[in-house]
Amino acid sequence: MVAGFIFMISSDCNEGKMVGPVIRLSRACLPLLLLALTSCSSSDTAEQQTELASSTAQAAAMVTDAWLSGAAPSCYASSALLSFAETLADAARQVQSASPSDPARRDALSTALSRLSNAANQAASAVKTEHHAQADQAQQELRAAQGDLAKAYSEYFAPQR
Amino acid sequence: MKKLLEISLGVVTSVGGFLEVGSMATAAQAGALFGFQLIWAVALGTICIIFLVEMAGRFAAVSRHTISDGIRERFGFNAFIWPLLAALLVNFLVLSAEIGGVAIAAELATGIGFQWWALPVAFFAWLLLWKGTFGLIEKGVSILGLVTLCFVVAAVMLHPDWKGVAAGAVPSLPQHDTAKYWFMAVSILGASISPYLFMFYSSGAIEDQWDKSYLGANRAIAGLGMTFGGTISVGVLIVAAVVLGANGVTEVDDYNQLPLMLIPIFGFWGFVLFVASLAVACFGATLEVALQQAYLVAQGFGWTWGEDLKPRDDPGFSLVYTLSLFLAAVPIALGLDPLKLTIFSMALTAASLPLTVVPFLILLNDDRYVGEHRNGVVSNTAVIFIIALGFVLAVVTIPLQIFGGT
Repeated sequence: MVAGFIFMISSDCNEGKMVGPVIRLSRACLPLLLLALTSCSSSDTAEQQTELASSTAQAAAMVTDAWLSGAAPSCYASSALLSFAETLADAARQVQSASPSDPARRDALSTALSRLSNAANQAASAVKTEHHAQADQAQQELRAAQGDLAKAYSEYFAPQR
Repeated sequence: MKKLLEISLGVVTSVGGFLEVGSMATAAQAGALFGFQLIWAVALGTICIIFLVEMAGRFAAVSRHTISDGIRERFGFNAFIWPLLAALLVNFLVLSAEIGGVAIAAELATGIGFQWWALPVAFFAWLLLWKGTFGLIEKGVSILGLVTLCFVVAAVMLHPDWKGVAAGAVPSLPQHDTAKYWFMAVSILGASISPYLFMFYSSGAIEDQWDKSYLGANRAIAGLGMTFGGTISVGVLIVAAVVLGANGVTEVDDYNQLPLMLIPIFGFWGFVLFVASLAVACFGATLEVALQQAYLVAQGFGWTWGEDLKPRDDPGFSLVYTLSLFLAAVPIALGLDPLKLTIFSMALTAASLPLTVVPFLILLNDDRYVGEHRNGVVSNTAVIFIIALGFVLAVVTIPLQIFGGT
């Protein structure tokens, strides 16, 4: 889309005096747009999505803790956990759609993210049905999946053998 | 004695009215990701708004004009139209974000999606503006806003590293996420220096019939009220840093993460306090921004205006706040994420500041309006520097943020 925008600006460049300020503006913006374009590599995607997922998973664990200790109402906790599960699933999809040099490592990362998303979904269901034991179990699953994610992430960025 | 009471009430009103969805969301995001490192942006924004609010009150008390009135009269309607349009657009986004803030609070409290609350919130705000008086809006809601002081209490209870807090008041370069750091700084500046704040203040001074005898009170209200208000923002940032950031919640991209700031400190009451703070602070801001839209248009076109008048006596004024409220509720009712809208509108506010602040500064240096009470070198320099900084940072970081730079 950005490339299309640059093309649009360049193709309009010689169509009369009215576009003069637009040309100047577009020239000034070009370096920024190019920087934006180059900043979207697959490893950046993986890094950004993993950071987001790690933070979201931690928030999910905190919400579950709060609900288990009676500090958060069920309606809030279940909708928050569902929303976090969706964010985590989206992160898994984005990582999966990236095209890295080593697909196996990408798949491991994506699997860890999906596991986190499933755990958050389980926690949401447990909270909704007010089932403390299941919520506790989902909490442990969240912690284990967080460990998986950390491992997959470090392997993803480890030097190729 | 009467003046002292008015000053106290003014300070309380400023404190209670300071925090809104913009300052809360930007401080929470900044604290979670960068710890105390962006406290300087809150401090800089607060210094700037102290100067601007003091100027707005002084201008109104001495010249008996509101800011928009003055700009239109001094520069003519053709020049006034640009700051008017910029302010209307930015205020519209901010109003939408504030309605979104109240809607989020309602969702957190009831579990019913925020989209469903946007129109009822707009209707309730409209009803208050339609039936209420300026005193009720200004003081009633702002006094309720004192609930936001819970963030300061929470910050103290957390025993943060005060040396680190003090170090954060000095600008420093980021160690990671450079583009995000500067974008957050811009958003914090935009949230602190919202034009509606000082424009509303000048209209309020005219509604309250201020004259030169109020200059001292104005200085005290601007200085103390905004400083205490800024302290609440710093409180939010500290709480976010210690509770969220330190526990690994560094990306506050979902409003469901926000109540987690107070729950570990106050337990269930933390949740209640957070919801109440968000609802009251955003609802107060909704009323103020909607009124400000009406002030802007009515003063710009020379219509009759005044919140204390009956709607039939100022129909244009009443129509503007009515339309503003319901139109601003539409994006939220359609499901636009209030948190993302908030952060974006705050950055855009910073980018638009020169358009609204520069003509105002010229007025404050014009003897015909303020006579011997014109601006000094310090206030001129401070405001120009901070506005220019906000503008430059906004122009550089907004494209980077939109296109995903790191």
